[in-house]
Amino acid sequence: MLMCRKTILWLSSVLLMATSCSREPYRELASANERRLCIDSLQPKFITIRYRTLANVKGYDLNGILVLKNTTEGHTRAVFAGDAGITFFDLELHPDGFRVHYMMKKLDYKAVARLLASDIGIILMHRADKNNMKVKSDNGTLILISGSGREYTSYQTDKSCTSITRAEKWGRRTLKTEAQLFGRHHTMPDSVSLRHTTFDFTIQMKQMTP
Amino acid sequence: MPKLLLLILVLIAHEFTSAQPPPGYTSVSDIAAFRKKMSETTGKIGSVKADFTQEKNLEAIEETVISKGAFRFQRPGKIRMEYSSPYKYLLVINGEKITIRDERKTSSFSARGNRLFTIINNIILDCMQGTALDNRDFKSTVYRNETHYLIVMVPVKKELKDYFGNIRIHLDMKNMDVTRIDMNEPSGDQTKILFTNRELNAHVPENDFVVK
Repeated sequence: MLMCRKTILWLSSVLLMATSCSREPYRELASANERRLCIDSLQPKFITIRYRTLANVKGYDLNGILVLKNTTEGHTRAVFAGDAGITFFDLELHPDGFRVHYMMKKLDYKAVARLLASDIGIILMHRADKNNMKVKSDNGTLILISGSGREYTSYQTDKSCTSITRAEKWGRRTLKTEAQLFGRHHTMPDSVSLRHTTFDFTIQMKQMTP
Repeated sequence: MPKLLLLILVLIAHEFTSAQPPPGYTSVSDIAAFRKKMSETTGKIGSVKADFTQEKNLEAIEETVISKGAFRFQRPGKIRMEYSSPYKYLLVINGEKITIRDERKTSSFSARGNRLFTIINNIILDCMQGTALDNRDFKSTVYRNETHYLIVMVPVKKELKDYFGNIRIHLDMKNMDVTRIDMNEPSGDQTKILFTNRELNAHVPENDFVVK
């Protein structure tokens, strides 16, 4: 009997853990599928965009220009050049993930590349599958949720659903990254303020005139 | 055996091609004379005022980022690079102290604490002070055409090879002052810094190297 009770307790814990792993953000909000059509207008469409970028990692500044360029295959290249002119990284975001074309030796770690691709991907709505996005409403603003299981990305729009004002990356029950997006030029945010919640890493971006 | 032969041929070819002067230039064989001329001429340059254009070529995506600003140099070891476009950014080197002012803040730190800054700053200082050939971190070769000398600096240390394929310094033959610096990176990208409206020994206020 005691054994049985222990098994049930163990099973319950496993079930609880399993459900907690797949906990979806904003699940308490009402669905607003009828407004799904506006997702199309939110997705970035540009050829080249440059951002003045100020990053701070644990007190160290990393400033320069981030150039985003869409390729003919529909992929996006993201190249970051520091103020002194040195190229720090060159990533390509494609529908299946990302590819590192160049990474400065000091930064050349898988985890760093993954993090950078994830941060840039949030702004680009990378891998945000519009057909499988959940659409929820919160006082008129829409919350779009993509992903499943281990990771979710949520996008909050303004009330008219013409631009994204906030983006979040969620891990297992915890918010990992939050970004505030301001304005909209060339289908991309005019400026971005991104912050990691689990460690000291912030990025400020401002769109530059071509 | 054929593999060994091929390897030898490749090595010979590499040696041959790497020793080839860049198009439009011939090799300078009398390095001692060049060094003497550079030392004597640049020794007379106490300060430099110039405008600069920094051209960053992102090879893979065929994009060029152009920055412009004002350059100041004063012996010994003082540099001010004030970027005015496409955004305002200030870099001041005063001996061992580096100060940067960007959109957010002004920060100062020791050149010793930032290896990349130290490398770039030393290169610019070496260029201005005529000591480029003395930099042991690089193996240098000197070329010339009718108006300019060209120093091609190839990094020796592995750490530097991570940042640069080579660095090319263009010197005006008349005054031995720097007209252009090209930094070629392992990524294939390139940064060119062109100095224009150069004034040698112009008055440069001491305050230009103090950031408040």
